[in-house]
Amino acid sequence: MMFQISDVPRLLPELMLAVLALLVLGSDVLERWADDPAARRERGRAAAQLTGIGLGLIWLVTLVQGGLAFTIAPAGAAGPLDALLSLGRNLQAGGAERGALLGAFATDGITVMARLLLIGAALVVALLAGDHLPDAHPAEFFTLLLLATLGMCVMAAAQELIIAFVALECSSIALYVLAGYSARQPAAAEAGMKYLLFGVVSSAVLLYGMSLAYGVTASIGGADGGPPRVNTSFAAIAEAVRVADVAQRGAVMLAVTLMIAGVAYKLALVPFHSWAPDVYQGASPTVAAFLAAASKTAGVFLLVRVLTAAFPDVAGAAGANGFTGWAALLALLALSTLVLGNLAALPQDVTRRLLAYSSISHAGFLALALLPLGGAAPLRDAASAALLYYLVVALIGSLAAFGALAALQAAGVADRLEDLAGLRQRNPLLAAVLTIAIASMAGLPPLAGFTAKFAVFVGAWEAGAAWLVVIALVTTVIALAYYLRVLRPIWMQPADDRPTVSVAPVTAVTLALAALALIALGVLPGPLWQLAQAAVLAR
Amino acid sequence: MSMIDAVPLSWVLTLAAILFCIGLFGVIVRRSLIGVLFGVELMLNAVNINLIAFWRYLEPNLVAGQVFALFIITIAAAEAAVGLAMVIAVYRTRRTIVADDMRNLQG
Amino acid sequence: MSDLRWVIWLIPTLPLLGAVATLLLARGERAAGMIATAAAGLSFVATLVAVWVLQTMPAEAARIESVAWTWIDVASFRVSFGLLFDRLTAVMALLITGVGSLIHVYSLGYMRGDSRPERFFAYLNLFVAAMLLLVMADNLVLLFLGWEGVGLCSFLLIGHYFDRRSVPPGIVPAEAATKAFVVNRIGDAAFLLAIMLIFSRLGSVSFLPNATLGTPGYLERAAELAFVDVQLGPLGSIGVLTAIGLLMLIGVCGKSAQLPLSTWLPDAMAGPTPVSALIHAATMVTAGVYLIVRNHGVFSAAPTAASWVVGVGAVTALLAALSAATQFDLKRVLAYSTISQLGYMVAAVGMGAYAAGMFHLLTHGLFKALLFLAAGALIHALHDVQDMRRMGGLRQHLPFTFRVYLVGALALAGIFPLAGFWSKDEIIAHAWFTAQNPAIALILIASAAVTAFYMGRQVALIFYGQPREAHAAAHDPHGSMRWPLVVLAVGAAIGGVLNLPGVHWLSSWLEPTLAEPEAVYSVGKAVMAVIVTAIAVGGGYLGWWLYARVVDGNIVPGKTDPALYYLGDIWRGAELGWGLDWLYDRAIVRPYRQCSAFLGRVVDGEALDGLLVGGTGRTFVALARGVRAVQSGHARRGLAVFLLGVVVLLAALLAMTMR
Repeated sequence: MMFQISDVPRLLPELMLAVLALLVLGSDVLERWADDPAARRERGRAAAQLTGIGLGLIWLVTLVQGGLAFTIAPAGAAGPLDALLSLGRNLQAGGAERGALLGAFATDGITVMARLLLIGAALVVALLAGDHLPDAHPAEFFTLLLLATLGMCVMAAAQELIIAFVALECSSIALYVLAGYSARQPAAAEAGMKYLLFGVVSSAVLLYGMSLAYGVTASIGGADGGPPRVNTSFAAIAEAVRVADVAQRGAVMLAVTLMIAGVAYKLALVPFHSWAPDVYQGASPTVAAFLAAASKTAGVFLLVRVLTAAFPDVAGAAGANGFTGWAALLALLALSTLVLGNLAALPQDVTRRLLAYSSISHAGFLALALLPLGGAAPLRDAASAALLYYLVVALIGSLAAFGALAALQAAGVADRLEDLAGLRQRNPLLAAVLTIAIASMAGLPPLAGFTAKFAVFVGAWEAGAAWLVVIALVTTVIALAYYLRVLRPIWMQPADDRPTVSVAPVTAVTLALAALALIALGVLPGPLWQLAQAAVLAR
Repeated sequence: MSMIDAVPLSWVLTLAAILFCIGLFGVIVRRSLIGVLFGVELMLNAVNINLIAFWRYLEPNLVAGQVFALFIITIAAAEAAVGLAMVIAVYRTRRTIVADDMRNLQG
Repeated sequence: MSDLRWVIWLIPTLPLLGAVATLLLARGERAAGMIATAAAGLSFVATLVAVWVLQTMPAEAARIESVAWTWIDVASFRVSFGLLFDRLTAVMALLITGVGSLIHVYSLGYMRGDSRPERFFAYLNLFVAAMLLLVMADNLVLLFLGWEGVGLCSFLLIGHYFDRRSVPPGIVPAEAATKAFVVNRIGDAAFLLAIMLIFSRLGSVSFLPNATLGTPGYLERAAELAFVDVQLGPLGSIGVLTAIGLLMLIGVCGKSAQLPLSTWLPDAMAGPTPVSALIHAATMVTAGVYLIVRNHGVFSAAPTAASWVVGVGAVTALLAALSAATQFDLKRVLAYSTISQLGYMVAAVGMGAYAAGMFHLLTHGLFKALLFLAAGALIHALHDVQDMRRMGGLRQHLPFTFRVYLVGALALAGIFPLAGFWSKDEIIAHAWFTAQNPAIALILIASAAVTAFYMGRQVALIFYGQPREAHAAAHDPHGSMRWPLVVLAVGAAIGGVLNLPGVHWLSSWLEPTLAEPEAVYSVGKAVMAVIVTAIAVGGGYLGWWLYARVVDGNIVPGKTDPALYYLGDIWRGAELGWGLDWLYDRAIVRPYRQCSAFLGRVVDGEALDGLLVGGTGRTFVALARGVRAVQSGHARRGLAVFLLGVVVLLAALLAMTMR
């Protein structure tokens, strides 16, 4: 794990994130701010703007560098644009050929996709947070946001246990603080504390699993006396698992189980979910949006990396061909998450808590989408693309839904379901955004959620987990009942004398774009699907 | 006779497992938030013992296990720092550090 | 005329644009109504043009296919966003746009003074667009989009009067809307499973081979799978086509309100009456029948599934007719009647009488829309009175409404020579002679008798006897509410010419699409027709005579029906829709809510107290420190759940490795 100078362009987005984080913090510290409300607002706005612009830039760099969506022609005609083009050309040339850090950091299509998603989510959250600033130290808020994003990006690319762990903690510790950020509210402090408790316990469980995996690899790798190798790298683990004997396989499965349990808390899979409703409800709504969208996505990417790179040989199956390996464990988690998450959502009266359970139940779909990743190549690639597709859609959907709730809270609307009454009159835009996001989550065609769910169902069905698909379908029926509980006050209750809701223009545009994306991706899923396929195949 | 000859690997692993379980037990039954954090520290140290044992017994010529343990020690410190800061934040608002009293958030 | 093929895109697009324009641009009732009505009318014109184009094509290749883009392209799962306009679609599209336009015109008058006319007309247009997409889709997934779309519009329109706490007879509109959506969703889930099964076994979801995508059509491959089974693990195995057919049947039961999923339709009457006419009588609820006809290749190769279809349809026809006979709410009678008539159609298409089923679908669309619109005129005239016990003797006050209602009632009762006679008779004759299934035929004949009875009862209660309440100001509809009634009444009267024995335009029009052998007409059928008509006339007269002459004085608002005295629990059961609502409430809704509330607590970490912390934890603590109860702790309980999860996973792991 040596750092080479040629790694710089490969790690460019991550390095830029780190620099931006320091920049945001530094610019705030170096400025001498007055201590009146106007200056405080100005201070927050400055940090938000810097973060937003920086993240936008990084996102563009990632997009160009990844080269998934387009490639820049090799030789451009001399002209004013050429300088720009040659910059882009250079970026792409330094791109995703082989892993950075001697293979401990994968820079393949999935990494690119993860960066685009996570940085994009951070960008949206920064935009939404612009008019929902924390009451103190805004620059630290955005710095933590950036550091969490950095950790997530590295998590999604890790090919080695230590890097995976450090990245996970980098994002987690930042998120603990973010969840408890507006410390004046008791609820936020409580949410942060709960999140921290679950986080540290699950990271201990994860680490125990990691230590066992390392132990198995070391016991096998140490014997042959070949060239020194890194026994914590996923490749070494995969090789060790391949030749492991029965006893060692047992230790391997124990390690896999503990590692899945450790990461499952990031996804809020039942029964590792208890923190989610409390934290989504107690943390500031923009942070909740970030947790529901980005943190979960990063967790999925980490699972993908660990399961496919380190443990492909114990994938097993969860269908007619047997019930073994991590596929079976994921099937169990998917089952419990789908059933319990959807059932527990119905009696909730707090909108954000209800959506938290809905988000939990979506983690069940994610687990379902992870199932076929242990299979053979054509099926696995299609399933990976379906997973990426689902992640994009779920990310946009959570951002839209939680973002709309954040805008509502910023406007002073309380967070119970009945407070949404007559929203269609009080703010048609927010009503429409919430409706589209929720309808997409409920899987109503032609919204993106339907297409995404369908793709996941097809993948799991083909992988032999038809029984789970049937259960998942049944839970979508149940899900509609509680989704309608949110939609009913919006559309079918008079506003009475509740005041109108005003939204900042940036928020309005951001949310409207997210809602439009959900429609567009549902009607025309082709481009995104091709992008996902390209990401899967660009290894 | 070196320690490796005198103490088999499985003993060390068992010690780590017991330590891990003690930590886990502490996490569940301790009522004070600080007690819970202590439990987590025990669990992390169990992991460290595991890693160091694997390294020392199986591949003493390489460094991965050692490095891993060092990283865990560092990050555990960061976690503890943030955790204690949050305990203070909770204490400031609620005047208590008992985990059970944090029940503001209910459905 | 191939250069006019693009016109089929106008058919669903115009109402869609109309919906958007109404929602965004229209201010005020008049503008909204005009835009929406114009959109629906233009769509009807476009349909006529498309039908004309179809007519100029040779019969074997009479279809217009057009693919706009590849909608889904997930590995081998390819779905086009394309339309298919063949002769079957043409029939449905004509009904939807034709009756739809008339109902739009009628709504101009009916919705006058409504507080949210823009939304009403926008949703109505959106519904027409979704319904057209449903019947014009060239594959199952796009059909499903329309299928969900009509469900959504139905939800929105049933809840239109959400600001009224309840509408007669005591239904909360918002709850009725939710119920309709959720019950339908059960069927939708099964339908989606059927789609997945079709894809995984037949490799395509397109009805016909699709040149643009290069996908085969699954309908023509269905027969290959006639003897292939799908394994259900410990449950044994079942034929693939049977499984597909049964899953589709569940979808049909949801959308077309067949037993046991029929309970949402009577409550859906909480919506405005034009909505009941368009969505819950003429078009949306017939989507299930259309689905079976469209998939006739599957059902004809899966006799088990088809016989289930027949059974469900026939039983629904009879039980719902009995329920209709016991209602006092004007619209609920018609709602149960719709369920019953849909039962006829489903039974017909299950027996393979596709043309007869479609024929009845068409005539029913005409006369049931007429009945609902006339009922709307009544409700309007009587200022929202829907209880028939508060009517009576209205034929003097409302002569026009009486006449059109009578036409509709006679057509529904199947009296010669109105539309219902021809279509219903064809189904019964098919059951007796072609399908040779006397049991089903007898059930259907019995339903026909009950149908005539409840229509006689209804006409008597509304228009005959003494006026039980003074409705001096009541007057017949005029203007835009009047002439749609005239048009529909003419249609209900002469609709039978579409498929007269010997002429059978409809059968021969559909023949290239359905490949159904032409019906042969014999003396036996004529005798059968005479007998069935005699029974219907008898039933109708009985109903009329009983309620207009015999028990007329005993009908009191708020009191039960005199027949209850003689029939007791049977009557009560029929009145409550055979207790299905009660059963679902006890067997599903309440346990579900309780389970959900319980799980809400458990998953929230509340009830695990006893299970985990209070159990295991207490034991440990008791061991460790003597007897000292551990207080329950919210955060720690969650952690305990977390660790329980790890333990369960490890146990699962152990179980897997032990095997």
